[in-house]
Amino acid sequence: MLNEEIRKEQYSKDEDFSEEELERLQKRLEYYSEISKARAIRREAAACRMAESADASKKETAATDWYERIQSASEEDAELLIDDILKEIQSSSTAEEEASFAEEAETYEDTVVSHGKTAYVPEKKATETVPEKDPASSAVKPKKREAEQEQKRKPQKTAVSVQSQAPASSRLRTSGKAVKKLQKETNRQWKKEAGNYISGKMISANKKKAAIWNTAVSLTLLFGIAAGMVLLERPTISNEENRTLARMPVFSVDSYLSGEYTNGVSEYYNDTVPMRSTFKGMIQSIRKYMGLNNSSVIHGGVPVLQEEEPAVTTTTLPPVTTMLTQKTRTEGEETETTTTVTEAAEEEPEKEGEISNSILVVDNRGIMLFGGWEKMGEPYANILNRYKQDLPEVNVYSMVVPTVCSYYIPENLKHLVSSEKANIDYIGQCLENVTPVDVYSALEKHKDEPIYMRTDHHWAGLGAFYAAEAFSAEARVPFARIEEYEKHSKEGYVGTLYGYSNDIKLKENPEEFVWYTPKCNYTTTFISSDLSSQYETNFFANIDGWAPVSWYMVYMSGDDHIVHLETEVKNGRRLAVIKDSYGNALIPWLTSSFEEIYVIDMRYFGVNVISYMREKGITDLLFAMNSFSANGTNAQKMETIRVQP
Amino acid sequence: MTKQEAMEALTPIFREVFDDDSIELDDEMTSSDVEGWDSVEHFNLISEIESVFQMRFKMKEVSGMKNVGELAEIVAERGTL
Amino acid sequence: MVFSSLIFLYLFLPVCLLCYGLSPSLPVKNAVLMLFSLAFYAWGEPTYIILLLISVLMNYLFGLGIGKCQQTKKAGLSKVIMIISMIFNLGLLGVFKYSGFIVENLNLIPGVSLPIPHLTLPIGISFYTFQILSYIIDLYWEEIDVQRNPFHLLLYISMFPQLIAGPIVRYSSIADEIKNRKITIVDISEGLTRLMMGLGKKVILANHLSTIVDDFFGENIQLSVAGTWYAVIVYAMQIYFDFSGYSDMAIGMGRMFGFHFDENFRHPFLCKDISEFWQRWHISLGTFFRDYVLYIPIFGKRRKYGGLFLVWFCTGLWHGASWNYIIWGLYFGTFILIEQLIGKKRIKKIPLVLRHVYNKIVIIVGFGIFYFEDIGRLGSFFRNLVGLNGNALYDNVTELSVRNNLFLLIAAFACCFPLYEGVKMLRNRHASLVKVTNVLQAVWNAALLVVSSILLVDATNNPFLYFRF
Repeated sequence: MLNEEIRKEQYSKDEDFSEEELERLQKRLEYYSEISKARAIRREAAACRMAESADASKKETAATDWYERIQSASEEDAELLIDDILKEIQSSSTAEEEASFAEEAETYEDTVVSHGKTAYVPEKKATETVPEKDPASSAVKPKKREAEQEQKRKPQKTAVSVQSQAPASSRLRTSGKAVKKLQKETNRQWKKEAGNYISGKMISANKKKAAIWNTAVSLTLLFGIAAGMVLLERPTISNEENRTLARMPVFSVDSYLSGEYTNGVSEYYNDTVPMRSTFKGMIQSIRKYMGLNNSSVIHGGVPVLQEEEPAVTTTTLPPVTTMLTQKTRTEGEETETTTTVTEAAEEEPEKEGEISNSILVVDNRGIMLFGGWEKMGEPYANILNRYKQDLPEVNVYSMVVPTVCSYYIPENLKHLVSSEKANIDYIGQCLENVTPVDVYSALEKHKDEPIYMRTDHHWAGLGAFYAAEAFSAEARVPFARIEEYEKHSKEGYVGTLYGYSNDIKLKENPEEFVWYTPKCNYTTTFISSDLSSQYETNFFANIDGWAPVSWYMVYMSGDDHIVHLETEVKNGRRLAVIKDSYGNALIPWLTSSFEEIYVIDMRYFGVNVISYMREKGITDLLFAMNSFSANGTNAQKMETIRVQP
Repeated sequence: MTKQEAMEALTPIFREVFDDDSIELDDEMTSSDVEGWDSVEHFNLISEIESVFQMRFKMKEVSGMKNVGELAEIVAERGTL
Repeated sequence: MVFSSLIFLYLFLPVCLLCYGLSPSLPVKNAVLMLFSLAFYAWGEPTYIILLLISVLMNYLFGLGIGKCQQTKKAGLSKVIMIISMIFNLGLLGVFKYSGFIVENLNLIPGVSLPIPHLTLPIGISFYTFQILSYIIDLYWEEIDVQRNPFHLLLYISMFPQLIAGPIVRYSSIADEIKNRKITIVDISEGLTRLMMGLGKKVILANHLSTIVDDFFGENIQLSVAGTWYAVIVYAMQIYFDFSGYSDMAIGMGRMFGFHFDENFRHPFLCKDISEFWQRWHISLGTFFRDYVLYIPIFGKRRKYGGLFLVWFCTGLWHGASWNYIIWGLYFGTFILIEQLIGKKRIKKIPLVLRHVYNKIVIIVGFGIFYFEDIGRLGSFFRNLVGLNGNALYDNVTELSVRNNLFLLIAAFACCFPLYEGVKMLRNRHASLVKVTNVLQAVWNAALLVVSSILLVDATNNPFLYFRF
C-alpha cells in the first residue's frame, strides 16, 4: 500500500499545478470573489434601504437596482438577498409591485436552491483525487484534516443564512461584525488562493517555454564544451605541477582487459584539458572564496609529533654470500677454485614514522612542516661514520641544513613542528671523526635577510653563502667575500610549494629569484651518472624563457649528473660533495676555496663512490643536504652508493 | 471468523496503534487515510495483529495488501479471536 | 567511468544524448540506451561485464521458469526456482564481495587457517544484485508480469544512470516505462536541472569537504576534541552530498531518458527521530529491506526484534565487508528499536529541540563509525570525541580550518535544507516571481555546470565513496 501512495504523491508534487488542481483553484477563487461581491451588495442594499425609508420617491429606482443586482449576482448573493427582498416587499410596496417582485423572487429562489446544491461542493470531490501538497510532509495527508478545514468554512456560510431569519434592521447591525470577520478570513484565503491560482496559471502557461529555454541553455553548454574538449589542442606538460601530463595509452587486448587502457584514456581525457593552466588558476580563485583567507592555511593535515622513536622492528637480514673466484697456480697448470665467502649482514632496524607532507602557508610564505623526532637522524650519522671508516685519510664533514620552519613559523603555530635544531644537534653527537658544520646558527644570525625562498622549498643563494662561509671556516680553506660575486635576479618566481600546496596566495605573491655567479675563472664538466660520457659546459644554465618553477635549475641544470669543477685555486684540496638539491646552491660559493670540486647527487650515481673518490684524490668530503633528506629515505641512498659495485 | 467480525476486532487495534479513537475501518481504507501511517507504524500494526490474532502474515501478503478490506480478509481466514 | 569527470560529461553523455534523441522510435531508443549502458559498464569493468551478462541471462531464465509455473499453477516448483535464483544471486554477491571477510573471520577460530581470497569487486554488483532480486521476488509474488524480452531485462539492469551507484530502482516501478514512455521537453528540462544539482553537490561541496576530512582523519594526525567533532560533522555532510548528489544525477539522467525513478534522499538531516532519518536517507535501500527482509517469518514470536535485527545487520553489511559497517547498522537498529519501544505518543511529548539535538548527535557519531574501518582507530575516535586520549579540548588548527572554509561550510549547511522547494513555494504564492524564477533556473543550472566543470580540471582527488559497491 505504502509504496504506491508515496509514488503518487511524489509525482503530483512534481507537476506543480495539474489541470484538476487549476480547476479547483479557479472554483475556490470564484467562491471567494463571490463572497466579496455579496458583501458589497449587502452594503449597497443596506444603504439603499436607508435612503429609501427616507425618501419614498426613490423606492422604485431602489427596487429596480435591487432587481438588476439580483440578476447579475451569483446564486450565493441571491441566497443572501432573497430574505431582504421579501422583507422589503412586505414593508414598502403596493399590491401589484408586491406581486411582481414576489414572482421574481420566487424564480430566483428556485434558481438559488437548484444551484446551491451543485456550486462549491466540487471542493470536497477535488481534495479526494488530488492530495494537498505540503513539501515538508513525510508521507500521507489524511482525509480527516480536509474535513476539518471544510467544517471551519461551513459555520460561516450557515451563520450568514441564520442571520437572515432575524429582523431586518438588527440583522444589518449584527451582520456587520460577522461580515468583518468573514472579510478578514476570506481576504487572507482569497489572497493566498488567488496568488496560487494566478501563479498556477502562469506556471502552466510558461512551463513549456521555460523548459525549452532551460534545456537549450544547458545542452548548448554541454555540447559546446564537449566540442571544445574534442577539437581544441591539448597541453602536454603542467608547469604548476611540474610534470608531464598523461598520454593517450596504446591499445592492446591485454591492456583493455586489465582495465589499464580505459583508465588511461580517461586519465588522458581528464588530464590534458585545453587551456588547463587558465582553468587551474580559476580554480584557485574559486577556492579563495570558500573562506576567510587572511589567516594561515595548513595543507595536508597536522602530523602527530613523535617525542621519541616509535616502536622499532628489527629484522635480521640473511647473511650475504658472495662467490670469489681464485686462480691458483700449481706447477704448470692454472686451476680456478671457487671459494664461498659468507659475511654476516649488518642488522638494520626498520624505523617507522613520517617526517610530514604538510605545508603551512602564512604571510604568503610556504613552510614545510618538519615532524621528525630528535633521534631520527641516527641512521644518517651511522652512514657518515662508515664513510669515514672507509676513507680515514679524508676530512669528512656533515652539513645538515635546517629548513624554513626553524626560523619563520609564527609563535602560535610552533607546536606544529618538531625541533630541527634538536635533531641536527643529536646527529652531531652521533658522529665519530666526522665534523659537523653548524649551519643553524649561521643562518639564524641572518634570518632577516632573504636566505630562504618564500614560494619554493629550497634556500636562496644568500642562505647557501652563509652556510658555505661556515663550512670554509671548519675546513680551513680560503673563502671569497660576496663582493667577488656578480648578482643576478629575475622577477616573478613562483616555486615548488605552489604546486605542492595549490595555495593561490603563493601564486599571487611571486618573489624575486636571486643567484650569484663567481667572477673568478673555473671550468665545469658534466659527467653522466654511469661515467660513460662527459662534456664541458656552463655551471649556470641560461634560464631565460624557462618557466619560473624551474629556475632553481640555474644551478647545474639539475641533479641527474655528476659535476666536476676545476678552479684557479692551487691548494691541493679536492672536495667531493654528496648532496641533495640543496647542495646545488652551495657549490658556486666554494670556487675560491678548493682546487677541484666533485658534486655527486646521492640519487644519481651509478658506481661505487668510495673507489671513485680514491681515484680522484679527494681530500675533503662534505655531505650537504636539508633535514628532510637526512632524516628520510634519501639518506639510504648514500649507503647504496657507498657499497654498490 | 467472518470478514465483518475481523473488521470489528481490528478496529480497537487500529485505534490503539494510531492513537486515534475516531478511526472507523472500511474496505477501501488505505494508509493515506490515516495520519501517521508510515512504514514504521505499519510494522507495529502487523506485529500487533499477529500477536492478537495468533497468526502469521506471509511476506507476499504484507507487501501485496491493497487496503484494509484485504487485510481483514486475511485475518478472517487465518486469525483466531 | 565516474559521472563527475570530464570524459563522462563531455564525451560519453553528449554522444549518448545525441544518439538517443535522434532515435526515431522507442524500440530504437531502448536499443541505443542499452548499448551505451553496456559500453559504459565495459569501460569500467572490461572483464566482469561477463558476470553482469550471465547474471541477467540466468535471472531471465529463472523469471521465465517462475512465470511458467505460475501459469500451470505449480506453486511448489515456482518456489524452488525462486530459491535457486536467490542462492545464485546472493551467492554471486557473497563470493565477490564477502569471501575475504568471511574467511578472515573464520581464521579467527583456533585451528582454522584458510587462504584468504582476494577477489576484485565488480563495480555496481551490490546494486544490480538487489535490482534483479526485486524482479524475481515481485514476480514470485505475482505483483508483476514476466519479462519475456531479455533485452528489456538487460536494459533495466544495465541502464547506466543507476547501475553503478543507485538508487536501487525496483523493476516494478519502471516495468511499464520500458515499453511505454513519453519524453516531453519538461522531462528533459527537469532532468537536466536535477543532473546539474547533483553535479554541483558532488564537485563543489562534497569534494572540498572531503579534503577537510582527510586533513583531520588522515593517519597519524593529532586531533583535539573540537577537531574530532568538527571533522566528523563535515564528514556527515560530505557523505550526504556525495551520495545524494550522485542519486540526483542518476535520477536526472533517468528522467532525461523518460524514466521516473523514486526519490532516494529527502533532506535527511531535517528528521525528528532516527526512524524518520532512515525514511529520508538512502530510501531505495531502506524500502528494499523493508519489503523483502523485514517481514521474513523466521523469528516466531520475536518477530519485532528478529526482523529489525536482520534488517539492520544487513543494512550495515551491505555497505561494506568490514565489522565497522555491521556495527554501524546495528547501532542505528538499536536506536530505532528504542524509539519503537518508547512509542510515538511519548516521543511526541518531548520538546522538539531535544529531539533534534539527540538525533543529530546519534547520526554524527554514527558517521564516525562509518568512517573508521580499522577498529583500533575507531576506538581512538570515540576516545577523541570525549577527550579521553589526553587530547586538548580545542586547538587553533580546527579554528584555522573553520576560518579558511567558512563560506563553504555555511553553504553546505544551507544546502541541507530544502532550498529548491522553498523557492518553489514562494513562487507558487506570487505570480510575479514566476518569470524571474524560470530565468534564474536556467542561469543557475548553467552556473553549476560551468563551475563544476572548471573544478573538475583539478580532478586529482575525486573519489566517489560508494563506488566500491
